[in-house]
Amino acid sequence: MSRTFQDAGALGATIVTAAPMEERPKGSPPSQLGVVLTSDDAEARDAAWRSLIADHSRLLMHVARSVAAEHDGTMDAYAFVLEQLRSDDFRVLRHFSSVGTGTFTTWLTVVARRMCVDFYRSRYGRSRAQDNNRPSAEARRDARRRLADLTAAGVDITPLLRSDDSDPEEKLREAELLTILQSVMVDLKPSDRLLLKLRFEDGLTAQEIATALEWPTQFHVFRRLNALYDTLRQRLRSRGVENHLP
Amino acid sequence: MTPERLAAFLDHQLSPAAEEEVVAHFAECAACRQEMTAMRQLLKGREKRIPWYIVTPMLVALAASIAFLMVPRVGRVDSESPSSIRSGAITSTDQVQPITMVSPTDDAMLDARHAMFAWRSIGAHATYLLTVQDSTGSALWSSTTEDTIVTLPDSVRLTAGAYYWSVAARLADARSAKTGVRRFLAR
Repeated sequence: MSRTFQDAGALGATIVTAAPMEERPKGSPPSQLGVVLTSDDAEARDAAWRSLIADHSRLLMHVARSVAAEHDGTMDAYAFVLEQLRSDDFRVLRHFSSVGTGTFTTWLTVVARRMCVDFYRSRYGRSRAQDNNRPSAEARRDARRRLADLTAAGVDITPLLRSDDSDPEEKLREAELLTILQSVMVDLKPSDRLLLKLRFEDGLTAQEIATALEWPTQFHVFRRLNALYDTLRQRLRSRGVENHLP
Repeated sequence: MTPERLAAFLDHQLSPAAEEEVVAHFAECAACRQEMTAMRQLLKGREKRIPWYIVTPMLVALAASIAFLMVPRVGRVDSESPSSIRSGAITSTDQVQPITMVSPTDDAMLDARHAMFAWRSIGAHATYLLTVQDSTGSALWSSTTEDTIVTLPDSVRLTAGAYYWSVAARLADARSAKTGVRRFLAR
């Protein structure tokens, strides 16, 4: 049975806050947190907990909404997060420290999102899109296209775009090329490797990459990628690779 | 990767060496990388949301602006040209019949002991507010009446000089009108 607003309220939470988050120095933990974690007065702890959740319910709903597909799922995930945060004498909240853990808001977002993902998976199972160990034929075809882009701009990539029934010898060549490519990528800076992975392995758009890396615009992504292509091509040529068919 | 470490990375609270270590991990670990990108999207999406306590006043201000434009302008004189004020021209709103100032005429000379002000009616059940000002613009005397002729009471003594008078009117249905300011001279 689905949890409801009432269920969430029974967990001691105010669902919708009517006031902005308390004013405090940016990044410092909320004042209620100390009371929740240390107070011996059960009533004071409950009040602090309710206040803490009231201040952050909007954030938690935002997180739940990002994971769940529809309204009921969002509310269920929200209630699950509240339950988990409160369980075992606020065990999860005790992990937060004001030093070296980011701001409370960011930390709570990370924690809440993980809880929501766990909740969603426990209910609906792991989606195919989330399962990285099962690349589809389409994904493999995309990978080959990207590989051609990387190694031989302007070369006819039609052979690489054939479906899975390509001959074993060609598959072997591709595997060899991938091995060489991976070996030259190891020498790149971590940030450049991350950029290439985001683009070619995760298939993010330039705009999504700009957001992920906090770059000002997608054009910064394109410029950096073009520079990286040149670098990679030079390194591949130095290894004797002139096109996508070694 | 622990939530604490990821949050610290997202908030740029790691040392440069630690940050590079985390970036290198992202380059190798698809799961962490996808979590990081999802978190950045989440946080960015949250930044974009304008808090209700900003949105609400904005909506109220917008509604007020629309109402201001839609509702008939009542009793406004700021759009009048100086010449119309100077000449005692009439400002009316929402098609209220204009108030016509009859006496004293512009720059007319009055006997200070028998000053009388007259204007034309704008309709039944109208209430008028006559105001007399001295040359500095200070209100010297005002009177509310339903009549269209008012005599300055004996208690108000005008010395020789320039004065101004004006009339505002309000109808029973709350529509209103007012005249400009007309000058007269007392002797």
